[in-house]
Amino acid sequence: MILFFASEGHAQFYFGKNKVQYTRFNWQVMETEHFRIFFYVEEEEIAKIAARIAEDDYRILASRFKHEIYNPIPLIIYSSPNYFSQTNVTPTLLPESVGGFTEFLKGRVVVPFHGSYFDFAHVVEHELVHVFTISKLESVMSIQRLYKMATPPLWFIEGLAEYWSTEWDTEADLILKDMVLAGKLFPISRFYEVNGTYYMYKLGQSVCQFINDKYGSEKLVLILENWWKGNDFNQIVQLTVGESLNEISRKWEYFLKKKYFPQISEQGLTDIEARRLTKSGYALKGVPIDLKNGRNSGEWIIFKANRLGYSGIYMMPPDGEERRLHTLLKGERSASYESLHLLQSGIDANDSGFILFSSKSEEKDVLYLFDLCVRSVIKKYEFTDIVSIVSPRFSHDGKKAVFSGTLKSGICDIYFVNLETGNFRKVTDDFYYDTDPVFSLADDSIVFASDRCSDGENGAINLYQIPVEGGKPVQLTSGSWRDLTPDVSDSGIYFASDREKAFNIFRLNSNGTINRITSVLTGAYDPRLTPDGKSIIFSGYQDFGFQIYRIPVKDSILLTETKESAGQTFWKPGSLDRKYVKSSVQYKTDYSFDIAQSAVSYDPVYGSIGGLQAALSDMLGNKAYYFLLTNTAETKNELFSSFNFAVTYISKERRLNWGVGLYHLYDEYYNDYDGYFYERQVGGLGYLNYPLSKFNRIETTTYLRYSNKNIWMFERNRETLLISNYFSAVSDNSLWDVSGPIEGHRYNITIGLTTSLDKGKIYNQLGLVDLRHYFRLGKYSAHAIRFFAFSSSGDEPQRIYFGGSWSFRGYGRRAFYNRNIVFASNELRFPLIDNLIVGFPFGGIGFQAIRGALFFDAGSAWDDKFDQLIGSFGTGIRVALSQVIVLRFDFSRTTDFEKTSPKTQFEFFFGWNF
Amino acid sequence: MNRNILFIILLLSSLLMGGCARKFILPRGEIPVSKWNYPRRNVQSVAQIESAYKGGLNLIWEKHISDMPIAPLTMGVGNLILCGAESKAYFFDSKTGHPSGRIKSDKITESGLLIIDTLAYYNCGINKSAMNCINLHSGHSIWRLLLKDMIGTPIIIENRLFIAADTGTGYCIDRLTGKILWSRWIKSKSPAGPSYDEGMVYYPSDNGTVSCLDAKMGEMKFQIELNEPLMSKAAVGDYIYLSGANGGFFALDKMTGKPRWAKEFPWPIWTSPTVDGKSVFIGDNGGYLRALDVDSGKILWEFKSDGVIVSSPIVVGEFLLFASLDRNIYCLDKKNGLLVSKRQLKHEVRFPIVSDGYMIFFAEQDGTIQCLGD
Repeated sequence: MILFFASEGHAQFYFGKNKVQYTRFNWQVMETEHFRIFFYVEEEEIAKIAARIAEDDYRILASRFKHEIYNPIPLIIYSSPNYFSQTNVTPTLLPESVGGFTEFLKGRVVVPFHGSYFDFAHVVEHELVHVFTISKLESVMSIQRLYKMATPPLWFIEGLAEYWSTEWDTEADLILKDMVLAGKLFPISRFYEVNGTYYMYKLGQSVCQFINDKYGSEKLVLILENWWKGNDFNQIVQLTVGESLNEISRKWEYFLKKKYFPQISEQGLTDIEARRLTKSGYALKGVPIDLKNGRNSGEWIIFKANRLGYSGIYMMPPDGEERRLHTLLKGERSASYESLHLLQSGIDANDSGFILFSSKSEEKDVLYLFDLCVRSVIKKYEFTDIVSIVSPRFSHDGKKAVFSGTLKSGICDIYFVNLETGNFRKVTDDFYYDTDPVFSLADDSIVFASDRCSDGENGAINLYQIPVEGGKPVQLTSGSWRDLTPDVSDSGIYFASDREKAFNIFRLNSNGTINRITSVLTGAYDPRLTPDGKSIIFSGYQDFGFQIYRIPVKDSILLTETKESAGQTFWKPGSLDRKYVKSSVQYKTDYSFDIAQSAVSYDPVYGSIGGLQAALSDMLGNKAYYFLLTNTAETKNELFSSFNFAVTYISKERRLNWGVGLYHLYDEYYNDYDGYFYERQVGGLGYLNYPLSKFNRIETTTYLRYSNKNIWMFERNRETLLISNYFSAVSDNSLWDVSGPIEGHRYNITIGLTTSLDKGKIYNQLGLVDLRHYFRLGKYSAHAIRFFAFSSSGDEPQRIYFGGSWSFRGYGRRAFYNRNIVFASNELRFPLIDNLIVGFPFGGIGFQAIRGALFFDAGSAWDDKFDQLIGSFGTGIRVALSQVIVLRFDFSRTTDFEKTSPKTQFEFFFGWNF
Repeated sequence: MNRNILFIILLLSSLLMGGCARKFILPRGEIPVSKWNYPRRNVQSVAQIESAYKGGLNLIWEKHISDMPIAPLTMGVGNLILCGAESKAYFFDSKTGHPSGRIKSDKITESGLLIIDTLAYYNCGINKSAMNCINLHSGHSIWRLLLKDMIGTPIIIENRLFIAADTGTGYCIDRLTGKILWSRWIKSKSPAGPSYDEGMVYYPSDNGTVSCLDAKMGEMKFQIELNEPLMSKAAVGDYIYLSGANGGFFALDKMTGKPRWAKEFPWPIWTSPTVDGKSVFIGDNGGYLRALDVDSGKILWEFKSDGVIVSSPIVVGEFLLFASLDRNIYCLDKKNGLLVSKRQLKHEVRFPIVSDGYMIFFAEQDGTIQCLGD
């Protein structure tokens, strides 16, 4: 909508990363009893499975909630997280950690298939719990004719969804166990400190389970049914459960302590039992190597980590990162290494100095071969039809590799690739989830993890072995648990398993027996035997994060293993019976309202804003119409000539986003050059946006309009037919802290030309350069530099406002209104306080983070003749409130570089740092 | 006349007319007595009344109010009474559907309105709740008893009114004076309220406790634990029948509370059972309506609807009637569970169907009240 208000300006004046539509999907719609399932042709089998899961879940949830939903629930399925990240259902960029989401305006549920049917069923049910929760609350409030509803806390919404969609599993247990044993368990009143994180999900799940077990299985649904009776969540819980949230929290904390403290007598803490090698951020998937050549020959550990916000690949000595750490590759800053799949995928390295890893590169994953000698990627492997590549491993001779790959259909199999020729082929070929492949010692077979075991439908994963040429897999381990990340060695196959509740490292011996190698409480994963065979390098979870640990190989308890018969197919993911599928047809654009509201405000610069606003978009969010209708008439005679309307159509279906619009605007405006004036604009616009990658794009906008400008203060009238063209190049790979960017860059270069068609002359031209660079100094500190230049000339040059807390500190907001501006800013950003909680009689208020800034700005703004540079310097405080708003307090003095202003200027404003 | 003045007069008169909707006043003279002993809400008794109902679900009359039902429909003095979310009780002539008037309460009435003789009883409010007794002839309050956190539907037996509170206490109140005759600790809240049979009052609680009290003195006869939330009223026949929110269904000895038999079903049960002769009927959240043998618990038949059953089934003559959240009213043959008829509705029915022995009545959530029969 802002396109209209800024029609005199350059609509491209902003940054932001791009959601790129790499793939064209042929969307279909399947209607079942309670769902409309949107899927593309290639994933039809997954859609049928989703239909069965969703209908099963519907009945269970209808029973739990005592509630039915009568309108079909839109369920949008993507066969891979890489495709899921392209969805337009939400305009925001989806982090890799998002496993699915429910959108509230249209009640759409969007879920990707990760390869595992069990995980898929969990995500679908989790999102459906959200749909039922919202619908139930709406129903309860509607029955009572109440429209003001107590806001449910996010931890309760997500905790309930987790509790009613999955069992209390190993991951949930380790999160809570770690918090309790570290003495850092959050009481319910402080859950907001971890709002939106995985911790919050599991804390919420634990509380919901506690309420269910301690106070009665009917209480959770009664909380929803009693929603209308309370003014806030605490009151609703109090009258349903009979105890306040604080009392419940006290009992819940006590319950967890009683549960977890005794366990420490049986198993140990990871950093006591093993040696911690990494310290910062998250670090995992460590691979020990003995580098045979090059200037860094010797023992090293190659690993993935997210140390300061971005993930990357690093190398450290076997004693740990404190001695020497090398950054090998920085991910998430360019299209080639858009995502290194930090948690999802392992990496491999060998003694010859090669590293094999996968990364998202534009549409899909590619396999990279990195040479440690030259410290760069030397080869890139792209595989037709394979969308996702996970956990690649070298053969022992380093010439071949295996990995777990997912096709567009969502089917996940083991693949073999010849690294010299790039030829690849499937090793397994079925619908089971196969992952973590590794070559046997002789390179003639592959050991991998798979859910093809008898309890695989319920999430169990066991180890299998299959000849490199393919064939029937032989089962190596069996049981209703998860055996993952095998590592083959002379002494046996090391693997991680949650067979004894917490994940630990085990070894499968050649005689079929199993030894437990580690015994830690909070999880040990990704075992890799060191080259000398004496130690295991593994990823361990403790103190809220993953780090890399080393532990000597010592056998502990010997376990026996029972095998299931080899090659037997135990289960098959069920599809919905055809008789329950009402129809399955090609998707036709289906528009419905996103928003329709009435609001009016007046801004002297932009004129009247508001009126009737409406947005229509289709079910997939690919196409949208935006409408605006206002009237600025001041007398009856002006009624018909004063209608402001605008309609815009935006298409985001393809990589090239485009839009067209028509508008008529008539209003009184103000600027510091012309004063108050009336302007009537009638015209149309065209808009093109082509993302080159997630980080870079080019865009252009054209306005063709009749403009009649009446500057009544000076009795000047200008009437003409104008065409304006703007072209922008935008780059943004910035990483944000709570108060603004702290690493990366943001660039915007724009040029524009406005021509009068009837008078046949150029009206104005403009150029804009805005370059911002952020140099990371520490975890929360950075040095930010900005250079900004703007110039416009012609008969009616464009002028922009400048000055204030967002631009030139020390000078008032909109202090400058000129057609030439040059400006540079230096800012040192540093942390002051994290998580300040201020107590008030009515409760505590938490400030998520308080950051400090030291800045020095210099620049000048002029129309015809450059005068002189002026500057300002000072300090500021940024207070972030719940990731929604940042309060800015600036104390500054101005200077003309000869003398400094005697008084310190104070300014308070809102907004993120530049 | 000035248009503005005309407009104001029209506005005021419409407001006046709207605000003066007829208050329900029971005319003096013969009081129509309902055959249906609904104030007891002891559903096992209903099947013992002879009925001329033939199992038809044809529309006889339909009325609509701009309010939403918030409590079970009740019948009394020839009227059908519906309590709405706007704290009003609406009266309709049960034969014609003609509105007889309404009573405005100061708070929401979730208990429904019970009528004995010419007196109406209702519990209103959430936390600061009050039990009220009003004279339907005059519309005046007879008594009002403030009792914290009253919950569920009360029952009235002879001159005694029994109700439970959130605090885990069962009360017996003199229905003519409003004085508390006795109160007893029943361990936890009884969400649906008590049931009565042969001098005993049974309180099922949400912590799984079943308390049996002597109706006269409040003496505790037995108290047993079933380890399952009991969210609905007990039905009493040869045994006491209780349904659990975890899917359990229990038959207990009426005098000692000893378990006679128990069944486990896969879906939670939030509705009250209904006893009829040798069958006990129960509807669950999975949409199943089952008939069990009262003595052994053996499943005699089951019927599957497409939605959650939250309205307790009732027996009318030879038929079993219930509403499901699939927006259907079902009429089954109570002997074999075969579908006799069903009627598709536009909105949900969340409260039990009621009947006068000839017709059936129910309220949809949009405020539509329907009378079906033939």
